[in-house]
Amino acid sequence: MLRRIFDHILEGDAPAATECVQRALADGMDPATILNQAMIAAMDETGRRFEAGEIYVPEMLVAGRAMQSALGALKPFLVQADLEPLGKVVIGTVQGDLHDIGKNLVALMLQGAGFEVIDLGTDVAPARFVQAVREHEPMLVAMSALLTTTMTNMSTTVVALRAAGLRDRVHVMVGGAPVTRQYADQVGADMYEPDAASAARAARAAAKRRPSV
Amino acid sequence: MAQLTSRERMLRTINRQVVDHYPCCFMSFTALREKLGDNLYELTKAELGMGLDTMLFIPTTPRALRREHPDLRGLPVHFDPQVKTTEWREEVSGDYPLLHKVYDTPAGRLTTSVRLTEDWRFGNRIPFVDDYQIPRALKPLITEPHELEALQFMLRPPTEADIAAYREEVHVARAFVESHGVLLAGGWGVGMDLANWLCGMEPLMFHMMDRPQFVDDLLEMIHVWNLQRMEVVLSAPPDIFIRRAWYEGCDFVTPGFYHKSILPRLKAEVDLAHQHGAKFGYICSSGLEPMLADHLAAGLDMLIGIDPVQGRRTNLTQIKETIGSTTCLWGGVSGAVTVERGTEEEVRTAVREAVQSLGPDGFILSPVDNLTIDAPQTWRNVDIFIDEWHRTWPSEPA
Repeated sequence: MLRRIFDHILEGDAPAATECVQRALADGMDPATILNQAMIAAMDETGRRFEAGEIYVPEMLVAGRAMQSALGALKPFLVQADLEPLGKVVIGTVQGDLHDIGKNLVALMLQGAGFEVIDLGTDVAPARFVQAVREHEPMLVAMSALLTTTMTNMSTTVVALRAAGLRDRVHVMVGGAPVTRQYADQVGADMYEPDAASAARAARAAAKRRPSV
Repeated sequence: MAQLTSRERMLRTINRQVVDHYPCCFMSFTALREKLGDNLYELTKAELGMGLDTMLFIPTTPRALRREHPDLRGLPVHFDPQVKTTEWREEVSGDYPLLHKVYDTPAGRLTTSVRLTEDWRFGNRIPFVDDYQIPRALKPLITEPHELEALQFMLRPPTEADIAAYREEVHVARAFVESHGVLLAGGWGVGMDLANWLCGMEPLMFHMMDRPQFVDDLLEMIHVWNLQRMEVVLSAPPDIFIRRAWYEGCDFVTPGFYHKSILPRLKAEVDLAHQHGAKFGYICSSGLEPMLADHLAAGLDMLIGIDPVQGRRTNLTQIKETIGSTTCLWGGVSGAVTVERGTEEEVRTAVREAVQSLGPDGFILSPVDNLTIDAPQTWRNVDIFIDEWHRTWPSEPA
């Protein structure tokens, strides 16, 4: 059954993946095993194939949708079993920017990697990032921008986190078409990742050196 | 070799013939165009004055007058006279107001809604199609296959008046390009870009995966419309015909879908341009690598928009090796990252790397895909860009 869940997520077949998760749970399978060995493994493989150029954004999107749907069925059992996520991530597209495909892909891959994702959506003002960090105490803030005119708000947000005394408590990751590693350094981010798969991998690594809150 | 006119240099480069030096023609230069009141004749003259190669694009209708299709250059878009539109604004407590638009057609109603963000450019109005409305759309215009029947009433062929106006403009444009020695470009053709405007980006990708026939049917409808518009433009053919295809890279389309649904239609459009003696240029600035074999199969004369920084899966050397012996490569330097924000050394290095990887034969240098920021750093870097282009010319003209 784990193999079937894995395959259905990779194929982007949301109804089949969800049904298999429900059946596995009904058969008494451990929710943590389903999550780790089938679902997270499937999203890892999705990321690997994406980075290798074996699949592309549309395939990644449907895999993420299947994972989200299956996760919906699994979540109550994870809560019941008191299973903690790998960490919390606050994510959003910066103020003035309404583009969300890149951000959504990163959110999907982070979820698929075992993080709890608080998605603030698009056009997120620095104050909303600050408020969300206070409220959710994430280990990572991830910001996306597609436009050269809005990417400067990554810097504004980092400044706002610093002013609120929160910058040292979270890792900051930035990404988006015009963003480069050099720009990430300039704005005071900890991480720049060029795509959703590498973002999930970097977040996992960062979780191991989680700043103390 | 005697110095060539810009038009001769561009055409010889596209045809892979010997030139005095490789050309530099900015594919888009919004910062300059807007300074000149969106007048393409003035833009062409200004670019020539800067020592650049250039082209006059027709129709020259300014963006402000393309009310229903600001991002689709070309002939006017007309709806069937039976189509009635209604628009209204809805105030939303604690959020942006909404704009709604309804198109009542003989085959049913189409609706769309967008968030009226502070930077909304169109007042209390929603254009039929535009890049700008995709991320602001709460409900895209097309969501279901049965709506294509109604859409047919929005994609009508050019009218007699459009054709007459175009031919009149060609007459003027030809005299201009001949006297200035520049290239005449026409277009734009369109495929997946229009599908994205109509359906929204993420929904379209889901449709492609869940209901590929729906997207294929939509593309066929766009293709037929495209051909009708192309026939008019090519009836008085420009030197090159350009199709916009920013949403036809692998960030938006799977290679399998591209091969099955986009390639055959693209090839038919390339063939049509060739039948009329025009070269075919294709603008796609990201996600190129998996599609290169299909670009070759389509018979593209120019691949426009090669961006080594923002273009994902864009390896200059691989592009040159795969299609560079038959297809002219246009671009090579990131406009937004390198020219608008880079240091002098970064600009110079990027120009040198571009010509080393993509040129010098069959290569047109350009920032990709645009320069939009009217700031001192942009203008300083444009001068540096042009200076470095000069430095990379052969010391003895061919």
